[in-house]
Amino acid sequence: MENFASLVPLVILFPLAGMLFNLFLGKNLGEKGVGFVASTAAGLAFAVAVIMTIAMSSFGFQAVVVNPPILTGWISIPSGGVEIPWQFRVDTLSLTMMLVVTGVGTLIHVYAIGYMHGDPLFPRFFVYLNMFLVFMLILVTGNNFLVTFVGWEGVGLCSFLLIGFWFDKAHGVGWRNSNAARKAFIVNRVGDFGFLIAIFLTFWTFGTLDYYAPSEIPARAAEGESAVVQAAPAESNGGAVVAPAEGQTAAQGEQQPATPAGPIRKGVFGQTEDWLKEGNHIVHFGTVTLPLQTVITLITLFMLLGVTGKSAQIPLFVWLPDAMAGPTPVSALIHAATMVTAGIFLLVRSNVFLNAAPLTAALVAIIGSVTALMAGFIAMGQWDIKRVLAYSTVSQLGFMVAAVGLGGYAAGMFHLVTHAFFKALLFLGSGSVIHGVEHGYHLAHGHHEGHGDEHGHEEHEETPFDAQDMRNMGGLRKRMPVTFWTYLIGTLALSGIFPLAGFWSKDEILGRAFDVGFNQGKVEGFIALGLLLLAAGFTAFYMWRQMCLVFFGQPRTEAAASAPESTSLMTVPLIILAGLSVIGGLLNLPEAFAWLRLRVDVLTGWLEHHVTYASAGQFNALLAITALVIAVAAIALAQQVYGKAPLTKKGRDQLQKYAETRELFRLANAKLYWDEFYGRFVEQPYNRAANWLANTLDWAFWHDYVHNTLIVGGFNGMAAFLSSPVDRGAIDAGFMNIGRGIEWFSSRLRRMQTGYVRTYAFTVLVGVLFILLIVLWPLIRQALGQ
Amino acid sequence: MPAPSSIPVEYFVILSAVLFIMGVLGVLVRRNAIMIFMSIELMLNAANLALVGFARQWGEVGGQLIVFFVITVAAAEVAVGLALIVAIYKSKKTIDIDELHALEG
Amino acid sequence: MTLELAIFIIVAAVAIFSAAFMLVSRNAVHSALFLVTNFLCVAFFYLMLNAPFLGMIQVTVYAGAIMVLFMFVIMLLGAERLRDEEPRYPWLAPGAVALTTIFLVVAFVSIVRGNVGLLKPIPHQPQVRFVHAAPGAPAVDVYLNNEKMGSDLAYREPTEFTAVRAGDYNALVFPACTEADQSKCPDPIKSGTAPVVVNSIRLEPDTTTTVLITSTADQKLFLMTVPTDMGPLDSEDTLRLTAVNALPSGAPVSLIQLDPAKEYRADLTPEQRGRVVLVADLGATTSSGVSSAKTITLNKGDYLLAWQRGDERLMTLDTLTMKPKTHELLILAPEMVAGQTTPRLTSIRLKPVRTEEAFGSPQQIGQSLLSAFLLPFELVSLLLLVAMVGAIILTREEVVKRARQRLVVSPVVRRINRAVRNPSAESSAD
Repeated sequence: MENFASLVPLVILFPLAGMLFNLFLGKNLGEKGVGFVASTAAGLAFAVAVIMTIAMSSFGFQAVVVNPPILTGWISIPSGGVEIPWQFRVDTLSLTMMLVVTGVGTLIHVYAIGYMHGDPLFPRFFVYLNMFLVFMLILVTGNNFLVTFVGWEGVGLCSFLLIGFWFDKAHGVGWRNSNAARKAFIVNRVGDFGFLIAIFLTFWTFGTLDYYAPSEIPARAAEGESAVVQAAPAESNGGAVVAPAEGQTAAQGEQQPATPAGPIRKGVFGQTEDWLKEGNHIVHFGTVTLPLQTVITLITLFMLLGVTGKSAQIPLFVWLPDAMAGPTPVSALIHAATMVTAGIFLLVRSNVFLNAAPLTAALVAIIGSVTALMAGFIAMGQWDIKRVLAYSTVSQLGFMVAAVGLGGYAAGMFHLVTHAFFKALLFLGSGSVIHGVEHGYHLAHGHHEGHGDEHGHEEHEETPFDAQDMRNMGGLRKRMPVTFWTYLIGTLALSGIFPLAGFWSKDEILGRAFDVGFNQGKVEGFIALGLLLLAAGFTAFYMWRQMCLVFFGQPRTEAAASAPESTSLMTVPLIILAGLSVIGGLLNLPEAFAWLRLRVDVLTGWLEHHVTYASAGQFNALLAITALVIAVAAIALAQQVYGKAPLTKKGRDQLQKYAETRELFRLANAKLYWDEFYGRFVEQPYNRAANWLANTLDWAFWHDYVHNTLIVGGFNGMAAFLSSPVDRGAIDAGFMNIGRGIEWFSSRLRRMQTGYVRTYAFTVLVGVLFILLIVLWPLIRQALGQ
Repeated sequence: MPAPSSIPVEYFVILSAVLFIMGVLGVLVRRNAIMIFMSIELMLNAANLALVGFARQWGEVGGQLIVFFVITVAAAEVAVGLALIVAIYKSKKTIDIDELHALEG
Repeated sequence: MTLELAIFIIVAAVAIFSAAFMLVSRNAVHSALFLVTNFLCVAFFYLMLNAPFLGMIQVTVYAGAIMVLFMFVIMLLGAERLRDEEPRYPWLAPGAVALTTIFLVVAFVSIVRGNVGLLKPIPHQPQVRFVHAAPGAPAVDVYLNNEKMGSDLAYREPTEFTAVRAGDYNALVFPACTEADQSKCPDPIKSGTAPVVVNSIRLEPDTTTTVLITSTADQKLFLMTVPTDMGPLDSEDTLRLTAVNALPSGAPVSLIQLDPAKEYRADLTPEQRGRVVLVADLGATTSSGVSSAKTITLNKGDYLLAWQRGDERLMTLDTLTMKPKTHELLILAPEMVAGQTTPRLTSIRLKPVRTEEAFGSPQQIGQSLLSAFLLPFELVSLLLLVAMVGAIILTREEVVKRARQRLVVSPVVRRINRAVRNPSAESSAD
């Protein structure tokens, strides 16, 4: 296993190589070449991930920690006890993520070749895409929090670069794009801050950031043993650290003590388990001491902040809808399938923590469910095709987060995988729709510009034509059949219709909520169940609304009327993803369906090896049927409302017709005023503060007053003072007066030089007499005394 | 060692002092440069007399040697001094030292 | 009132009056002549003060040369008569008189009170020399306290006169060390060697002593101090002779002078031979080692001397040439000759040492001038030379300016001038 696991650096190196290749040689290659290189890189990474997966299942699901050929001893401060090596972790969880990322990523790479055709910055796009893959894979393969954080930050950077890819479009569109990119980055930063605090606390508490030490095996919690078993180095094959793949013949399958003799430090989770078993472990923060439980709760709370940022939950989800300003492949890859799932991945990875902090878990569940409902509500009132999908993503992420919070780690991962399939499908489909409408627009107006600039092409329009506005679409079912059918599959999968993938994963989550609420009696279970059911209903409703607006009915604009189908480069990935959406449920069929003679709980079993608290959910048939009924009812309702005419005669939404729903629609359309709220209570005070700091504090006070007036002025004043009164007046005058005094004195003294020798002789005589008197004084006194 | 003389050495020294005083007076009072010079010679002689008297008192021949040197130096000084006076006379046509005050301040 | 004092007073009065007249005389020539008188009086005083040489110098140089020079200049400048003008500084003369009066009073008081007359000459350090006058004794080293006075003194050998501090000394005699390199000799005092003979000697200041190393009959050495007067002789033609009897026993001896013309004439009786007894009755050395010595003054010349005991002629000495102003030392000592039991007599004549010169005599002044005071002597002669040259330069006539323009310029200077005028033409020549 070690040999196969040692391939994991390749997973990162292939996209990295592709990125560098395209970076330096991209302009010489041409579109096809660049796209080919990038897609091949992604594909090769996928292949490696598949190989490792096969190896993992063949070799007994053994988690391996791999040291990269370089960068061992990444951060090593022996005197401070800081040892954070760059290590990869190959276990079932990371492999799951790797497969999703590289698999869906490859498909989207291929799609993007067609989508970005004609864009003048074509190579740059693929460089960014590959870079994103690199960072995302670093995120999922890290063996310690810091490597994960590197990937976390990296994908944030790539998200920024890709969202604002068209930052130089005219008419303010470029500004809109770059604003969206900045918003994404800054909001993510807030989350990153939380994540960083969690990392600091973790390091302080445990002294290390490793998830698991190389020699640890995270055993299954269900077996009742201690959660983490320390593998003795002398035993066979037990999680030994793999030397770099090249060289070191001694590493071939032999036992090799991973760490020097002596007590082996466990990873973070291992220590948690041990201390929790001991009980009474306290952590010292200077003068403050806290019990371990509290510390873990704090860690997970801060981590939750990071998760809400990256995975777009309340309160940091506001960037995701704006991120739709980027090209559609970006939205598909990053903001549907992969990056936004990093938060869920992190929570699943930290399942030991969450398990030890039930308070945080409850909070996670509640946040997830509330987010799911809220986003679902907002999605109902959106006009932009991609925005609907964006809010849908937020909502589904809320599902996943809630699942994780309720302890359904496997359920959350399952939904993550299936959601990747159909959400990517939906996004790519919407991209196809947008492309088609744009083409149709150009065809209708006789323009044959490149397909790259889709936002607001303004040659002779008063208002730019928004190809993404669903009000400009309609009746595309006939015009773009492949797109239509794949989109339909995606919609049904998302809505949770049996037997498509979404049904199984969503149901498992609901089952978990039911379990937690009714069987375990926790209140968050009840709340989650209720909210998630409602959200599921909303999901179906808005997705069918979208279907009606886009595909059914009659084309409402010329553009829609003349929209062509997309190229096969774009449609083939759609088909593949549609297929995956259909059969995706097979990944984790519940046990109750074992009679189908299909493998059940594949994913759960797979994950259970290395996710301590992953457990299979119980299939609740009643609940499943209820959810299905709700979904179908919602679709029917949507069909009722929008089926005949998606828009009113005035071009407004059908819901706006009725007084009761008008308000709701307004609220949904206005995104529940989240952005305005932030704008008023965060941005404006912030801007005012920044303004104050810059203009008042820095310029007026510091620069003008302190610097110019006090320092410079004071200095000048002092210099003037010292020069005029002190220097000239006192010192100069003093010395001048001394000179004058001497002059006066010497002019008087000069008269002694009479020039007459006789006076000189007289003076000499006087002197001689004086000396004589001094010398003979005792004698004279003696004489006088007598 | 010379035999003690009946004349006490104080007499010689007093005589030397008197001659010296007279020489000083001459230097200060007279205006003729030559007269001043002669007064200086008188002073030197007075000093010589005192020296020889003490040399005899001490029994030291060194005192006499000093006098020997003083006489020699006085001779040299007289030569140069008189030459100076001659030179001055040539330029100023007078040897009244009161006329020689060009170096006044 | 002795004659001396009277003469002194008279001459002093003359000196003072001549000085006074010199001061007040209007005529410069008269003043000069009065000064000459004064100088002559001072020269007389020099003679009174045992400085004959200086007296002569005074007359010759001062009165003879310097005043003549003065006269020349007075005549040259025509300064016999002086104009009588208003003095520039009227306060000068009375002030001077006042000050000089104070000066005089102070000097008077201090001289009288200062007990100048009580000055005593500084006593000179005693001088001592050692003579090995013990025949038969080996060479010796002589130490005074810790200081080595004489090394490897053989029989008849004296040391030079050495000045030591006055006081009591232990004179120690050791056998001479026979090392070729004297510095390798061990210090016998430090090594605690027993001296051959030890005596304590007292040395007074202003004395000169000769210490003889003599022996008694039984070869016992002892030291004998003989005062040796080295003071100046009154007459230039005389000398001093000290005779020492170092025989350990026997009747007193005497030193007689023989007339060479008459001595060996057989027809004369001993009384007619014109013998003169120079030193009579020198007793033998006592058992405690005290020998007898006497000093007499002789005229210079050739002497035929003989030691005589009573009528017995002990020894006849060869004709000795006695130089004036010396001090001769004759020692009569026994000598052991190899192979004989009785000692032989021998007379040791040490090298004569010159006596001191008289105080203030030219000889003494010359001696000091050319030994201790040589440097000032040379410097002063240089000074005289410079003064001479200076006087000449100061009094020469101005060179006629016109002649200067015709000065011959050296070829070098001409070359340089050419170069300075045409720099460009000469650049290649650099």
